[in-house]
Amino acid sequence: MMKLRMNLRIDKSEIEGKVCENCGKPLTVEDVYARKIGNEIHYFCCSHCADAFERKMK
Amino acid sequence: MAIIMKDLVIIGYGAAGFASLIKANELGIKPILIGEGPIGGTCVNVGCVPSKKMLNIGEVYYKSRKYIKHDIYPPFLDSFKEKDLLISELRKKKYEDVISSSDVEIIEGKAHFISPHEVKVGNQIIEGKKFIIATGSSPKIPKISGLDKVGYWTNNEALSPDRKIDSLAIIGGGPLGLEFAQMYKRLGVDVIVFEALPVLLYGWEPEISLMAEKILRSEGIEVVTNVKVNEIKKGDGKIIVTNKGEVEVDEILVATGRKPNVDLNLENAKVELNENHGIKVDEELRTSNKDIYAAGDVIGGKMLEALAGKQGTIAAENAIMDFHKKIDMLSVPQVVFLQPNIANVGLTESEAEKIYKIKTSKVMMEEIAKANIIGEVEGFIKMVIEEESKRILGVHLVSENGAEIINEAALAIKMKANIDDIIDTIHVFPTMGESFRIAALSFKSDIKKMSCCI
Repeated sequence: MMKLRMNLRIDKSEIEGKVCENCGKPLTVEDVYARKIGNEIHYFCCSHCADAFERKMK
Repeated sequence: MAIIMKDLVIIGYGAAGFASLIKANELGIKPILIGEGPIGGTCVNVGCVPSKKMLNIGEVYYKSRKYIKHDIYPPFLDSFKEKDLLISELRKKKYEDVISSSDVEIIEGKAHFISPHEVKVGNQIIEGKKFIIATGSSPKIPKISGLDKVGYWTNNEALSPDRKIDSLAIIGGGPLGLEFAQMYKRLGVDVIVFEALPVLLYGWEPEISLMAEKILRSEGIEVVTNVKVNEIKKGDGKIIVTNKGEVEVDEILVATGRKPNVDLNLENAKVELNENHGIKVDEELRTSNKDIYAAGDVIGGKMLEALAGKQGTIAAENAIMDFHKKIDMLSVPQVVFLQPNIANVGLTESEAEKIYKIKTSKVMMEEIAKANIIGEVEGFIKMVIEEESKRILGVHLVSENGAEIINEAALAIKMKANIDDIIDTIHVFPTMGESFRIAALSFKSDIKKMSCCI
């Protein structure tokens, strides 16, 4: 079989870092917060953004 | 047809089954042990032992490349042979020799219940007063168009590859997928990880999910989250078509979790299943049939070697002695053996804040003297405590030798220790384990303004 190195045909923008689901700020190890809303875990930069997101969901 | 009558019948000879056997012997019972496949089950054959050996080989070469700045990689197939030697040795020492010195009757074959107190193996019927089911788990394979036709690896094949590959796509960003990603990358293979959920290690602390991705990316591993794999096609290699594009690789590893092995005609034994498709048990590991217990992966909960062993022991004690022992699940630690290690025990911040008024603190490893001494400053330790009592509820970390640190955290949670108990315990300086005390101290003081030996 011919040996392949990986042939990646995925837009690099699709594999960029995570952002706060409320304000869009990039998430870092220093500033990240998770909350389970319904059956899903959502990712935010802080608990205030989680509160705001949850208010908007209601 | 032979009929055998026994006080205790253990089905499965992996970690949980062996623990049950050893405890049964300690309690003066000679059980029947029924099993199929290589003795020792998943852990020693295709689980913890071989994967950690391969990760260790990769780590040695990775650090060598880093320090001597010379592009050396492990010999691909010979590394797996080295692993095979270790497995043979440990399987003999920890399982075959243990069997030889145990008081047990072994029956090889697949067991099926034919009544609430009888199993059939081949042409033998074994009647038991009590049973312990410890049949483990198997890889769970998702339904993806073309996957079966094109072919794929599970952990079994990935730990004993039939050829050298140059590129690998891993479907699944859980503990198993991550360990294989780093393992293969450090063997010189191009690796990409696909995870359907928004982050790697979904459900772990979010800092850990982010750090896991950072660790993989820093080594050149591609990570794609929130992705749906639509189809697998054959090209020059194997093509994975997703909603975000496609990739062509030499091989595909499916690492989307494991399913309990419950193909035992359990309905004949009146044993019910739970929502995870594992055997439903109460806290004492008793199934819906009061004379049948279950232990290990077959329950469908946390699938961890050490937990399976403990469950096997407890199930045997409860079955034989009619004890009512339980396992403190809050203090069960879990590790992903990336380098640096990823580990947790207890509640996450979001779990804890639903129950308690809490405080959290996070100390980056660059604040720990030993991390600087050994040049491994990547990572952090996060502690979750109950605000009023200061009791430790959860510890989550990414650290060099983090698997060693988490044991102390597990003990602290099991003993319901608070941060003062840890602060008042002298820890050796300089060690990575000291980070656990410094995390406790960080609730009271600014650790950035402290000298080393506080």
